[in-house]
This record gives sequence, C-alpha cells and structure tokens, in this order.
Amino acid sequence: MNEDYSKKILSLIHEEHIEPDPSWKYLLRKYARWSLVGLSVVLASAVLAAGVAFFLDVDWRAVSLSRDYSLPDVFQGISLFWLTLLALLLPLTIYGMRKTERGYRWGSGAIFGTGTLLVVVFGTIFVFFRIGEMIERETGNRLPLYESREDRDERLWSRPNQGLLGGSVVSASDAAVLITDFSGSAWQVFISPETVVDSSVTFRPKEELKIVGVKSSDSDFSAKEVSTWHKKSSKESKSDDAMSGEDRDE
Amino acid sequence: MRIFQNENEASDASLIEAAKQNPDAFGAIVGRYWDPLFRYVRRIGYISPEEAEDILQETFLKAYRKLYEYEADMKLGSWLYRIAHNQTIDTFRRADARPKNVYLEDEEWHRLFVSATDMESDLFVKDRFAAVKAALSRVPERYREVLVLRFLEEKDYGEIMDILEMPKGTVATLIARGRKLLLKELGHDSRSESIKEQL
Repeated sequence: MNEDYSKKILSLIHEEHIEPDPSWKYLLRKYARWSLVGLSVVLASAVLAAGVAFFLDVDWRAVSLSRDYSLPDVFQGISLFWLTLLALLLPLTIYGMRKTERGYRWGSGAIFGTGTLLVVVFGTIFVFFRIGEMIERETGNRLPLYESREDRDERLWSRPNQGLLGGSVVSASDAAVLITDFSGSAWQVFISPETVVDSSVTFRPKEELKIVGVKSSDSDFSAKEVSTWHKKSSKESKSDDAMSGEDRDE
Repeated sequence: MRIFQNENEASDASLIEAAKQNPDAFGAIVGRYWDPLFRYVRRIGYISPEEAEDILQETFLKAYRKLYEYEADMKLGSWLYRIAHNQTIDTFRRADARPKNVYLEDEEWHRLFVSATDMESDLFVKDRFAAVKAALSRVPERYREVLVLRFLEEKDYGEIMDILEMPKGTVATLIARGRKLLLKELGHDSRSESIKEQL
C-alpha cells in the first residue's frame, strides 16, 4: 500500500520536474537571519552605550547646586531619545533571535535574558572604548532636534534664578566679567576676593564659563565659583580651535 | 527502482542524502513515514481518508522541495510531522475553517483519555465513553493537538517542540492545561458527575 503512495509521489516528482530548492537559498536565508540578529545586537549595544555616555556625563554637581532641586533634575541623565531607540531595538533583537531556525526552542525568559545580556556585554565594550560617547557626540552634531549632552548642560547652566549661569566672556576687568549667556542675554558677573576661580580660567574673550552664584538683578550676578566649560561637541571644538587661532593671529 | 538493499535499516540521514542525489530514493522516505503521518493528519484534522491523502501528497512534495532545509539536529520524523501539521492547518485556512474535532478510533479516544488523565480504571472510561469523547471534543484545538502528539503519537517533549515550533515550557504548559481542561469538561458533563470523585 505504502509502495503505491511512494510511486505516486515519485511519478509526480518526475512528471512535474520537481527538484529540491538549491541549498544556497537556505544558507542565504539562514545567514541573512543571523546577520540581522548580529546587526540589531550591534545597533542596540551602540544605542545603550550612547545612552550610558549621556547618563555618565551628567553634571551632577550642577544638579546638586541647583537651589530648587526638583524631581525632573533626577532624570537629567536619562535621554528619551536613546531610551526610545533601545526600547525599539531590544525587542527587535529578541524577535530576530526567535525567528532563527531553532529560535522557537528558547523560552521567553531565556531568549529575553540572552538578548539583553548580549546587548549589555557589547554595550559595555562600546562604553569602555568610548564608542558610545563618539556616537552620542556625532548624533548631537548631525541631528538638530536631538538634545545632546552639550544642550542639556547648557540648559542646566541657564538657570540664574537657581544660582547657575553659563556663557562666554565678552570682556573682563578686575572685579567684574561681562558675559553673554546661551540665549544671548548680557550679564555683569561680579568677582569678589571670596570667589573661587578655577586655575584654568583665563577670562579671555569667547572663553566659556560655568558660574555658581547669586542673581542680584536681571543682568547682575555675584559669582561664588567660576570654572571653564569643556566642550564635548567636536564641531564646536573645531570652531573654538579656529577662533583661538584667529585670536592668536590678532 | 530500489536504491537501498534494505530500506528499513537505512538511517534517516542516509535516506535524505540519497534523495538529494536521486529522486527515487525519496520513495523510501515516503514509504517509511506515510502511515504515521496519515494517522496524525486524520487525528488532528478530523478529515476523510481522501482529504488526508491529498494533504500528505502536498506534504511530501513540499518536503522534497525543502530537502536542503533539513538539518540533522532534528529527527526526520519531527521535520515531516511539522510540514504535515502546517500543511493541514494551511488546508483548513484556505477553506476558511478550523479543525473542529480530532478523528480518532474508539480505542484511540480511550487511550488518549486514560494517558492524559493518568486514570487507572479502564472500565470506568469504557462505561462513560460518550462523556469522555464529548469532553475531548470540547477541549480547544491547541491543547488537543499537543495531547494527541504526546499521548497518541507518543512524541517526547523535544519532538513536540520541533513539530509545533514552540519552547519546552509552552509544550509542558499546554499539556498540563489540556489535562485540566479535559477534567473540567468532564465535570461539566451531566453524564459524568462521578468522574471527578474517582479522579
């Protein structure tokens, strides 16, 4: 009886010239799936590393010095941009692993745990080699709507009412410095003998400063501490370098 | 044309390798797996023998086309069961229907119930055969097909994982819930009020 069925199937194979699909088709599909998993792991790890770089770089001192320390300040280190990307890429990684040829054998916990572990391990490597920092910086340079670490720091230091003022030097005298803040407003910053000035501060025009103090009027600020602003954006660093060169030429 | 001296002794892997070289060798695979797959397709599809034959014909042609997809880390039987299972589901899907029941011989209904519930009293089941049959029919399809694979096809968890493409935990859960549902269904049946007490 079974021989009849065998003959029937074989005659169909011969009559309809049915042939096995070529092996390269399956190999291609198999490697394409694993490549996509690999790619999503790398992307998710890069996003995690960039998010970690964003978090680690929070100026917590500025947050703590803020006079009305509020709940949103606690979340200064969390970037919704990176968090959203990670929330999209991590499930994509796990879905990709599930869709590999034996992915169904993994339980939900095992596949989620393994996917997450892979992303954390690679993410840590990316953080270690400062790749996350580079990605974050480049994203800040290329995406206008993205709030980079630089933008966040500017926002943190644009709160004169809370004692935090940032800006670039226009001119300086012994007792006061004229600066413009990041929104373009001019401030007269008074320096007293009690003011702690970081040794790296030069008060040269265009030098960017972070000032902790007390706002005394709409354009006056009494400084308690003055330190230099270290730029993170390569684009702006380059422009700064160019300006310094021009200054020197002058 | 006979490719093997003794087809019964040839391993699944050697049958597959031979079929890749010579289509006629595929006949030995069909011969080896036609009967169990025929029973399985009828069991899960509740279909006529003619319909089961059509499904199996498609199953084997598909398996032949996918020969290079088969990897030896899975039993050939599991791979063919999977294709047959998917082909059965596809057939129902094309007809815009779902398997409403399982097709089982009387002895199989009995065996499935006794195995699934660990009942020791065969006489008890025989006495209430109609109730048992009705209860099994009411168990949702996804639980029923796992119960059929486990207790009638006598597949182990690893094989069921490969056939239904689900993790071991899900297979275990479906079997445990299937059992519970079966007992619950029996509890609802007026003809089997005393069953729970005996279980």
